[in-house]
Amino acid sequence: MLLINNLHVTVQGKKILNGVNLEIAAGEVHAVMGPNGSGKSTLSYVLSGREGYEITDGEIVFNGKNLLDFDVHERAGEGVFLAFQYPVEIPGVSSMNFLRTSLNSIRAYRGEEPISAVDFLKLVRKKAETLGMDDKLLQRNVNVGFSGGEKKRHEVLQMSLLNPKFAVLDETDSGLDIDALKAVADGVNALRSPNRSSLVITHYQRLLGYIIPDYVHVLSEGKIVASGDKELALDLEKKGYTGLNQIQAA
Amino acid sequence: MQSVQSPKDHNISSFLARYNARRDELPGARNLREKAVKVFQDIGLPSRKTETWKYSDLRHLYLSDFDLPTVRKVNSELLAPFILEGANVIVFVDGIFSSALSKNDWIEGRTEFQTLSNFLKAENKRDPWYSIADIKRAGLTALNTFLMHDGMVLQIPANVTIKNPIQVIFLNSENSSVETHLRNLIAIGENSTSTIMQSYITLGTSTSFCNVVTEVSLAKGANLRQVILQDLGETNWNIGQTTVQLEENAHFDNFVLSSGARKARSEICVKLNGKEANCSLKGLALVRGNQHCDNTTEVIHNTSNCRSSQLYKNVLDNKSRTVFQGRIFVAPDSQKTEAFQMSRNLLLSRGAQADSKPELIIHADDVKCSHGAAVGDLDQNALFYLKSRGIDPQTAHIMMVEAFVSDLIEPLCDDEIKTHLEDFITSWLLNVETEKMQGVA
Ligand SMILES: Nc1ncnc2c1ncn2[C@@H]1O[C@H](COP(=O)(O)OP(=O)(O)OP(=O)(O)O)[C@@H](O)[C@H]1O
Ligand SMILES: [Mg+2]
Repeated sequence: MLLINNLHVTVQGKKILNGVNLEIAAGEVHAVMGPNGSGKSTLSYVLSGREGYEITDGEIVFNGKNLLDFDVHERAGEGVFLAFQYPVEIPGVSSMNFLRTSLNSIRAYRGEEPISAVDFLKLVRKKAETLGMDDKLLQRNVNVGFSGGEKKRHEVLQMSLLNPKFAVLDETDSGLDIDALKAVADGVNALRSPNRSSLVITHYQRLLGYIIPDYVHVLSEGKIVASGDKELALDLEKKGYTGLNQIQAA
Repeated sequence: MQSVQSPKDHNISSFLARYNARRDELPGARNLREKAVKVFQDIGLPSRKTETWKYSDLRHLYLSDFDLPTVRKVNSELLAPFILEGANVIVFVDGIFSSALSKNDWIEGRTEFQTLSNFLKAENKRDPWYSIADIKRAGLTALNTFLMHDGMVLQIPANVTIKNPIQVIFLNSENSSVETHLRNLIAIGENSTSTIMQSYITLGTSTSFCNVVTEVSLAKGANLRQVILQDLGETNWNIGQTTVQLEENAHFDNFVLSSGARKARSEICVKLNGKEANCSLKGLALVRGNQHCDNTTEVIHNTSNCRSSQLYKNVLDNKSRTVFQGRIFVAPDSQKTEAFQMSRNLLLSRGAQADSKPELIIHADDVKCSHGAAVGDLDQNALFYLKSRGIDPQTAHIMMVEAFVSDLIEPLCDDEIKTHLEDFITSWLLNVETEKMQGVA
């Protein structure tokens, strides 16, 4: 599904990613952990096509296509989704309008008819309910005045609505209460299927108790320094990243 | 020996010659027009040295020649797209009232409409005609006063609510190049309510100069919502001056959407004369190319317990330019005044320029007053967020600009007007080149 090969990325003259290699097969969930500032969000932005990142070397292949050839909105059309670490507030744009425009854009990209206003409303209500979200929230402007947890649920709602082939969740678990954490995990698990994959960026083993990853990677200073199964996350929780250096040195 | 006249002096003499030729017209305003001539001879035409005209240069206007208005026939079908559904319509073509295009049979009893030329026809009956526009004001008001030829006079008696908007269309006909000096009078009686929309539009292309002065008087408890859509072709000149005077508990709500003309200036002066009177002034300029749009306001709190708010926004593309000059004056003893003013500008291109000049003159002490101005470009984070959800760059830009202007459009009470303006804004935005917007980042 996704192949990242020797990816080197520079932001404003600063080298952030130093040769990332990662292969995610269809149906797999990979977790990426790593210290603050190690380049996790940078990787997620590069995958979604944000401007301002210079790819100095390497490639990203998504379902056989060179992902770097696509613009941001086209990548979303191709099925890439990023749940933002810091969801953006957009005053003046109502959440409902945003969600509907987004869904219809993706449907248009796939060559599907736009969803009717009535069907859309039904769909959103159902999804919001599953996530334990008050749909009154969606009458407000995008993320404006949402609490931290509400913003994260809103991200998962979007993911669930857009039904991506490949989702990157950048610290979607940070700042969530237990119920929200479960709701988010349920949202991700609901999308689990043999033809869908995800990359879950997190600092905490806790989330991985709900979303059992197939692989866990550690990103440090722009490189993947360790990979393993879910046990690696447990080890890290106990020993920390400094402990990891010792494990590797041993 | 013949002296060479500057374009401005040349203009002054030709304006005065024009007045002399038409001196006997509009006998109902003879004295006022004579007075205006004297004032004009004294103050002349505004230049960049004139304080309130510093940012808006009319030199090119003074160099241009225009024709006098003549009656032209316009096919009513051409007008259809500009007409609000269900509105009462009054149409002026090249500054001349067209009864064929107007639909004002609704007038009966509830409103008195007549043309200015009719209103001032009677020999000295209205003289001295009580005018509230200040002819000494720097600008083209004195000029308008002695050269005015037509306009609408709308008088709504007390205790009348007119539900459907009254739409007044000032149309420049195709290939016209006329100079019009329109004068509108609007008087709303006690406790009456009305919505008036003024549309300035062009059919095809025209290179006309429209100088319009509007005088509005709101009696106790009267309520007027005025919406102005200025969408003249980009080779026209539009200079407007509106003076509004409010009695106790009267309410004035004004929104100017200015998107046309090569150079447009909309000046509005509101006098809050009665207690608890309040006004809300809003403006939006959508400009591109080399367009220039100037919104100049003056709100005068002449008594206590009045409120005023002003919100002006501009969206600028290419090398366009906007000006906002907002003056708030609070007279001594106008206690419990609340006055608010905000101007925000969105630059879609590096070559565009927005100037804001607030001016607060406060002589009372129990006053809540605030003002602010901001210039920015589109929020790149928000654009990325939208695009990451599959929304194409053009739609994302349109959504962001519509979001920027939403607090101007949302409060509009009349649904027909709201939809009309929303559609207008969207179609304007569809013509903005997205790559250019991205270039600003
Ligand atoms: N636009 C930028 N300009 C300069 N430096 C940047 C920019 N964006 C990111 N960086 C730097 O790149 C490094 C990696 O940042 P990134 O956000 O990818 O880290 P992260 O692993 O997601 O951290 P966290 O766990 O705190 O979310 C940091 O040192 C950050 O300061
Ligand atoms: Mg991060």
